[in-house]
Amino acid sequence: MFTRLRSFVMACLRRDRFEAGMDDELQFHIDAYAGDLMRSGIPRAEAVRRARLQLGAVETIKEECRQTRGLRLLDEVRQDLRYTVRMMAKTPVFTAAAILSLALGIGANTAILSLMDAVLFRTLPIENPGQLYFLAHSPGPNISTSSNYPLFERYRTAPVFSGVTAYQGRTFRVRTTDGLERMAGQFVSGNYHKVLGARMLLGWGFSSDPDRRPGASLSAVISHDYWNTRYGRDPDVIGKTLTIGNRTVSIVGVTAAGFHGLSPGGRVDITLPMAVLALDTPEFLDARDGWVGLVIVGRLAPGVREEQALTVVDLLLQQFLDEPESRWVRAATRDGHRSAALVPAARGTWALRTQYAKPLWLAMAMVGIVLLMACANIANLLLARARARAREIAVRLSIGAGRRRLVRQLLTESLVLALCGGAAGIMVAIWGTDAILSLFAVGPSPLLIDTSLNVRVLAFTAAVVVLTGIGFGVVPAFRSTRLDLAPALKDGAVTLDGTRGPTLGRALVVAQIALCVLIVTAAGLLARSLGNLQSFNAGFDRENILLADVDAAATTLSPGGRVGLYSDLLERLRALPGVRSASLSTRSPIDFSSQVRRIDVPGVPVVPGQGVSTNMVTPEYFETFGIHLIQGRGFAAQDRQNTPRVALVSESMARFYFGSSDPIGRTFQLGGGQQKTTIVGVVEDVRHERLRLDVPPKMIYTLLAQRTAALDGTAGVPNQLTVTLRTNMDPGALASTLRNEVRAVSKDVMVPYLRTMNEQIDAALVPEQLLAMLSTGFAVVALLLACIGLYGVMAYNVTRRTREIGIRMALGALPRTVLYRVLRETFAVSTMGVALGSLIALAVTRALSTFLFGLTPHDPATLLGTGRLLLLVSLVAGFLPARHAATVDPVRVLRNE
Amino acid sequence: MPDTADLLPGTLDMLILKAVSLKPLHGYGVLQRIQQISNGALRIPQGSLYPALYRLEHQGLLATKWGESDNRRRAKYYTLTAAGRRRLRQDKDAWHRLVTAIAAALATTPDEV
Repeated sequence: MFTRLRSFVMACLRRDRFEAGMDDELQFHIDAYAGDLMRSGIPRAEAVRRARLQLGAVETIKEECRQTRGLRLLDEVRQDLRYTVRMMAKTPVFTAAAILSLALGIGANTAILSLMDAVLFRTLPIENPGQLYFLAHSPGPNISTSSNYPLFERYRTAPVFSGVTAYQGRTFRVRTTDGLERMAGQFVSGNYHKVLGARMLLGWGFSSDPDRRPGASLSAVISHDYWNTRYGRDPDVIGKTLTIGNRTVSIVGVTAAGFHGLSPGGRVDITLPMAVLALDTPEFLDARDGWVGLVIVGRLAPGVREEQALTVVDLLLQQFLDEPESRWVRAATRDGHRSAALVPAARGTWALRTQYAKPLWLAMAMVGIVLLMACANIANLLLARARARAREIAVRLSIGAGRRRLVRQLLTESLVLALCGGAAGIMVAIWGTDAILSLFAVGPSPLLIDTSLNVRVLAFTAAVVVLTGIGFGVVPAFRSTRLDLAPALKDGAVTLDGTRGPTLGRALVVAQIALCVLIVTAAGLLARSLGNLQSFNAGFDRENILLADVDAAATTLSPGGRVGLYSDLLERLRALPGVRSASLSTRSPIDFSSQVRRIDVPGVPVVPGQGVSTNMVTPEYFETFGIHLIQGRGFAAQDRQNTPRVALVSESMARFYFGSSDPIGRTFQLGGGQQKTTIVGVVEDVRHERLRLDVPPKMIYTLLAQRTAALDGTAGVPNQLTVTLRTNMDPGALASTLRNEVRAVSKDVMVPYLRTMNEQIDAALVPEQLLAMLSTGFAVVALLLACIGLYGVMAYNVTRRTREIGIRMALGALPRTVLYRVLRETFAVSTMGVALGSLIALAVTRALSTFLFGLTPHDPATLLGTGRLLLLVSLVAGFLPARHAATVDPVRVLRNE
Repeated sequence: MPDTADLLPGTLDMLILKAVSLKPLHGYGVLQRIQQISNGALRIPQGSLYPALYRLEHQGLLATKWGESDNRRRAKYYTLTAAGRRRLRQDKDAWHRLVTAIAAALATTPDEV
């Protein structure tokens, strides 16, 4: 086998030497033979003649010799390619149309696949990711990775793991020469990088540092990205120091490019050991009265199976929960039972996957259909062209070309088309993924998604190219080489298999229109849902609102000083021209946050699993957001720190806890605390977490001026608050003014996230926007493809029937009649397609229901609109051929006969 | 030449291998050698000689080297490779078995049936 391959390769690479050798050898044969003949007395000329005669046709021998090396195939392929290129150059419009359709189809597929690869399939850049598991726990189906440090210490003793580590995501405030900046990072246990097997670019990661070690030296590991942007790829970065909060840490390592911890989509720029956390909050290491967002991961020891490990982990968890110190976490579980769960960590945490799996698969289904339409289009164009080339093919067949050879030639043509389409498609994909990624670049911490092309994606594209090339090429290739030679040779009036040719083309167009209806319907439903979400009344005004998160954690102010700072800031902002009202709050509508806090209402039994959501605000909050008071009074200036605690509640809260009785004057305690708060008013419901939520949260608004330790766990004013401005001008225009005002109040206050309310809502609607944008794009492409398909078939039909039309007109048919006739035919085809597509749409749009908002999957307006649009588009596509038919000159047609 | 016989299909390869096994030969030499060792009884179709040589070389049974012929001209010489030698032995055995079997079959008299 090897020798044959070598001999083939040598013959290919040294083609000229191979040919020359063959010539020499045969010439030598003739000369030697002739020499022998001359020695037996035959004259020279005669000897040479006889020698040649005996040898036979030299070219045939050479061809047979080449064939032994497999060179003939190569020659033929080269011939086919040359012919293909010539054909493509001769029909530039066809070629461009085909390559464009394919580029759009293949490009869309590649773009979606590279997104799917980045979000759904890719494993983390760590050692043996398959061995790594999250040690999670769950009440019922809700698996949570949030644990605490004492539980981690139990798990790390389990021998079923070769290593167990833990991390907690954090935002660090880094002091640099340019001021403060907030960086995404994490606190990790001292063995983090070793257990994960994370590759380091410089220095080393944390491998065996104890977490409990007072007075330890403080170290940090930074990401490749941070090293790149902050340190300009300084090779001597190891040993440099970073000031984070009020601690100075020295850099000991830089992780390799692409490593950002275990949460896909998130960033990890700075990693600090848990020992640093323990310096400021030593109680963290012993706190077991809650789940504190510490994620535990373990690497299975060699030879240990998942079930074995799970048994051990569950045993440890139950022991832990049974101890009296775990009372609180046990009480927080609805039915009191919590079981351990091992979740594969090879692809990291699942939040992003859960959010995007369905939208991405849906998009994939749509691009699949678009590609099918593109294939149908090209198959149709190829069929039409095959009819035009019937005569050429008939000639080639009748002079002895093998059918296989011809099919190969035609398939080569379609594969070359597919290849060009694929190459252009990759360009489309690169451009497309960029456009899609710009959708993700919103919100307080934009998702980090790496969609750079990789081998997996390119292999997929290559497979798609080959499959489409064969897919749209094979039927036309076989059909066009199976024609009846005699009539084909007679003249241009060729029919393939009688009348079936046009029928097949028409069937393809009907299928195309049906698929197009499906895509356009889906796009219509998704786009209208997005519109509904964007205009949905969520209980507050969304126009002319500017929001800014303000972070005062780096200031050295006392809680009282912070209050002064905030009221200072509010005063300054209210004085700005263009600002109608300004307020502060701990949360804002549609800010992704959700809360379930315990509430005790005297006279109302505690409902397990039910709780309230809270927001600490200044009195102007409701005016700023346009939230109406329904009952009672709003907050007033006389409500202060030293007056009785008061609260406003939302309608839902009042309805849930007080039913039809009057909530005003009723009291409650929050979070199991003793402080009694009195309800003084009821306000409208506001959607807080997400727009889609059917039930608005049960909100309780308390006053920042009456802050208590019980409300946010820490005494005093929260570090981070949201400033909201209601403007009477474009809110975006005030952004830089706001920043300047904050800077004027204190240099140590940061504004990590500044946005308008509409931007905040858009950030919450990324999956919906993604789907709406993609499906609309696909719908446009689908319409274009259907147009081209319909136009192609009708134009071909008209050309084929020019003679018939000419005769009709000669016999007195009016151009208008002819025009209507062709249009009617177009209309018949498209009506069939629309009817078929609507039926399919009715059957399958239910799959979209989770993405819809404010309309049903069978929304009649969308379906009717789609049908009308397609009929209109098809008439436009059919008009050109129809007009062409109407302007046929009967005299010229009949003279041509 | 009434005494000559056409080659049986498939036997040309074997004869070429045999011819080359005695000493390295060029293409024309192979032709001569086969005629010589068969005492001129076998007629080789010259047109199929070269494709056969190329095929055997492609299969790794023959090796080639450019050398000088008796009359001082450049010629391509074929030699037998180890694989070629093995193949020749197998072919020879198979051929002998076939000939014996056919000869036995042809020698059968009516009594023996």
